[in-house]
Amino acid sequence: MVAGQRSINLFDTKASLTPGWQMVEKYLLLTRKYLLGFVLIVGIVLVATYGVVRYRTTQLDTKQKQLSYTIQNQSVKEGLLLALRARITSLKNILDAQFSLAPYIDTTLLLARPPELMSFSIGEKNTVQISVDLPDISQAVSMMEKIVRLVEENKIRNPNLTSLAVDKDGSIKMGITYSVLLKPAS
Amino acid sequence: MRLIRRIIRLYQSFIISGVIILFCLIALFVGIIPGSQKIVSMGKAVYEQTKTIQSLEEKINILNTLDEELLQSYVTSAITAVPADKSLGTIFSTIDGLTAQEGVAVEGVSLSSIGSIATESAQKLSTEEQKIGVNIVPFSIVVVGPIEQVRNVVDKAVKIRRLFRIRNFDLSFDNKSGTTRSTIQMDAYYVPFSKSLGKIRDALKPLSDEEIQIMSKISALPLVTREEQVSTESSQVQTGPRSMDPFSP
Repeated sequence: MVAGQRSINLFDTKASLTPGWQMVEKYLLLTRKYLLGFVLIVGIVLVATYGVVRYRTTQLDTKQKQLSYTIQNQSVKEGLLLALRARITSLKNILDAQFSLAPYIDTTLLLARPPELMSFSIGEKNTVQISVDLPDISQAVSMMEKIVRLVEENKIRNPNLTSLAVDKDGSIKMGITYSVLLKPAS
Repeated sequence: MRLIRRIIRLYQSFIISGVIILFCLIALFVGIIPGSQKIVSMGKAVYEQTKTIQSLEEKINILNTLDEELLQSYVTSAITAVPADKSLGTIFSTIDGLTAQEGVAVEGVSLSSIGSIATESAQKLSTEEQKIGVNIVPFSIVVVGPIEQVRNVVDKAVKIRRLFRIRNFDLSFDNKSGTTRSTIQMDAYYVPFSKSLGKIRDALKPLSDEEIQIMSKISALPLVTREEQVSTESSQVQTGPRSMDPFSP
């Protein structure tokens, strides 16, 4: 009989276990105590956390609904802003692609004007093609001098005489090409 | 029977401990672990919702700072510059106004039908449309008048609010009639409105300085039309409730 255990029974009420099983029993008691404590404490903590998180979720839901409602009320402004922003992107691309052809004409007018200037067209790579009808050879020479001067002033480049014909009356028809550097439209 | 009673009596504490441990394990796997997972996911949702609320608050702040009248005027200017549809009326009226202003006569206007026939030029334009990101309406006008005035038309055509681009320019002088005839090939632009506004939660940014500069530049460009003819469809900006289906009315 275990010392300190008070009982009037002369026989042991509990069936005795082998020392090995008693050791197992001891560890089982210890395990169940800690496990139960762990489950209870963690359970309480979880329930409390769930309550707090649940409360916070409800709170946030309400707030989000209010904010969404406020935004919905300002949908006109938002729509205007979004429509504008989408269009500004296009506007920027267009403005970047825009350029003035006036410099082509201005440069050509420095060389010849109607009626001497018979035709004018703009080709690939900023190339201008003009045909002029000049009354005599001195005018043609004068025009050549103008072309050389414009090249020196860096207004035109790569001038080419594509055709030259002298008529019976002494008038001269010339085809000329040259390039002009374009500036972006201001 | 006696044997069972004896076994129960002998292993009583084992049975009780076993039952308690089993209960704890069941509680652990059925309650605590799924419960923890649920709380963790709820925590993540709360975090996400907090972020959403922050962005909504920022959006409201931005919306509050916006001047609706200014936006409306910017949108009107932008639509006048680049309508939502082809708006041929504004093309014609602008050309009419421009040529009248410069004192040249319009002898003819022709519009190309881009995309209907897969010619090389159509393909080229499609590439350009993709490059610029807008739809192009190519057209050409034949004007008769002194070259200086035609030059002014060409110059001003890219400095007016209905945005045009001059693709090509040909000029010929007729000795017999003494008139200068010019053919100006031009492009007008249009950009359809997007059909939806996006979601309420989508972030919103105020107009940047660059965007304001562009709009100021566009607003400052003169309207050369004899009368402003922005089509009804063009001037309608969708500001109503959001639609998830862009094809729904």
